[in-house]
Amino acid sequence: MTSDLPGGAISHRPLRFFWMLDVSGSMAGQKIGQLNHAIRETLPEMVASADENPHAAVEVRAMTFSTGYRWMTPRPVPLADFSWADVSVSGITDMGAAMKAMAAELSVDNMPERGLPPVIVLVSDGQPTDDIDSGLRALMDQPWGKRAIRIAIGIGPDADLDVLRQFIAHPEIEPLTARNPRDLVQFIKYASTTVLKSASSPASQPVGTQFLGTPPPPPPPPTTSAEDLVW
Amino acid sequence: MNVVNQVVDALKGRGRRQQRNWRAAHHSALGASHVRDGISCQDYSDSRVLDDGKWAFVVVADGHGSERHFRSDRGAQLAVQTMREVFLAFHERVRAARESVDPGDLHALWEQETSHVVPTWRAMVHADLVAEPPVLPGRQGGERGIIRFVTKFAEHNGLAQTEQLFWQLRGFAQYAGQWTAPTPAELGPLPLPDDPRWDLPKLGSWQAKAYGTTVLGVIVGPDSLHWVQLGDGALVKIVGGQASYLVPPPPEAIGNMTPSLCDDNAPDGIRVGTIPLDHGHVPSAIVLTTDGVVNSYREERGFFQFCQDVAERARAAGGPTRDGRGRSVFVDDLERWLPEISRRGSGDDMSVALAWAGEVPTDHRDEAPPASVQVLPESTGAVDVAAESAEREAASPPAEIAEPASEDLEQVPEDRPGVSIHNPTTGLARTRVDTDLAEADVAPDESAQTNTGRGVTGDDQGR
Repeated sequence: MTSDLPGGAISHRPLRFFWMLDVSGSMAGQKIGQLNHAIRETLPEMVASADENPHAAVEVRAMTFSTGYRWMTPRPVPLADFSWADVSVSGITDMGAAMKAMAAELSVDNMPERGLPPVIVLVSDGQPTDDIDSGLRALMDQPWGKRAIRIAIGIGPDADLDVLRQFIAHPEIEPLTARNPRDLVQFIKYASTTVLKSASSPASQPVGTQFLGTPPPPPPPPTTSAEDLVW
Repeated sequence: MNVVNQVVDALKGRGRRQQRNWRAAHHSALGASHVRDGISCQDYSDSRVLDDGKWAFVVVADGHGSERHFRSDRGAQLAVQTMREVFLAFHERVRAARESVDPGDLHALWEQETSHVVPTWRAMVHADLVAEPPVLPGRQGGERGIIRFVTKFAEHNGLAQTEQLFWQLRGFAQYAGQWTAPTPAELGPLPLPDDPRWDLPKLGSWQAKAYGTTVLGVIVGPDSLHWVQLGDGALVKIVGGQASYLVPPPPEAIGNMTPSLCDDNAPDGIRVGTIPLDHGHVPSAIVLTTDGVVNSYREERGFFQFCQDVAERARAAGGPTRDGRGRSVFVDDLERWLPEISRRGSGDDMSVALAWAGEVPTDHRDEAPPASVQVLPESTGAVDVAAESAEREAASPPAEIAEPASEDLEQVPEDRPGVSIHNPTTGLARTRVDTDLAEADVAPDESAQTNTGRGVTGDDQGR
């Protein structure tokens, strides 16, 4: 043994955190501006939250989808090295293609064998324009896809909550609906701090469980007053 | 030649071999994240040497630890207790079989005994629940685990469902009130939720889940090794100084998901096997760990290096110290290592149970690899792989089998079925070393064992 401790190199368990962001044309204006702002501004709190559980080594990947999809980070980036580059909008909502790309990323070959269940946060304001069913099937066919903690944030009244529920596929987790910038910020913060912290727990779960994945603590309540409605 | 015949031949040929003098040790340590969160150790482990070192068994269990598994520390302890009973019963039956003309089918015996694992564990859980039903939160406080469970349940379920859970907890307390200190045998296994005898609306289906745990165990004797696997963690053998999986982890055990004793279909998920040692590389050590250890190593080879290092350290440390405590320096090492590995690694609880050979057979000859490998379906729970062996001296008379030393049995802890286990949830490590050897001996070079090994068991092939 090379040190006092037996065995090879020791390290914390990898935890992949995926942003999956709708940047179709309908997100133009305040929506995309607030989304960029929310992710960028909550990043320090995300780092602080991850620091609370040092036994999970958080790695971030970000994908945008509109007409097709694009990985903003070619490889997983350690959270401490992750910075946010604002994204812009254009095109339609190829959410199905994005799901297939996510499924490929979650294949057993591409995921760390001893990793914690990943977190996928889907943000969208509209309806898929391609074949979402086959995309969702591809995602859920992957063992890591099934085990992922899947969170969905719908922006505005046109978000397809049914699709978002299909993506979550867990009766104890509901899509979050942001109807104003404040909601969006607090939901992004919730996903990148509370959900992340919950996902970093090492507790095991029987495979016989009907719905895989321990649900995170509940989200903060959305703004409900009429004057706060923006989207 | 089928597996049974190989085992029988192994029994007949055992007189040629030198006694291995197995030794065993184990240790469970509270994980760094559980220290931080104030959660007790959910792992449990045990090891023992029987028959003056002719036999040894090792077992580890990993309670799931999340809110719905609010008694999984007790579940892990009951799983270890279950395996202890299975090992001892199997050992007794093998001894009895060897006294007869036909030594019998060792693997069939192993299958029979391990078929009791799930029902015995469920009976122990049943008795533990009845002896101490979960206490509802109230002004007088309550069981911390049940408070966490109900709080988490309420966060994600409606008021009506939460109220129903309260009624089910109360309903179970009434159900438990029917008995006074019943034994697991009197109660029988905790019924499954769809059992017509179980009043599901009134009692719910949370009971077995509360105790959810994995369990891995190995018993090794003069001629054969027998394993059981239900869930994640690692069963590792050391052969020729090299570690490899005795049995690979179940494929579904990724991302914190694991087969569990609390699954309704647990009897289908349990995997068992027998490896006749006479026909292959004889392991110099067997190392079982919970997944907290495996997940702390960046690469699999780093984990295997851990297994090799601890086996080497165990052999170097030898038997118990002369201080009368019966402790090995090796266990002191484990006590020091495991919390540190957890802190630098997964943060999870950690268990290691290790059996190692104090002596290595001297009459194993170099032989060609097996001509063929027989693979039996996993679903049968049968021997995984057995190699066709080279010609053996089938006519060799069986050797006398030593009676188990009485002091072995006296070391069995008094946590018998029917006695409710009250875990003080101190999180303190639980440790034990077993050895029947009065003094440490020097183990031969392990590579020599491999170089002179007879044939190849091939037990890690074809999976």
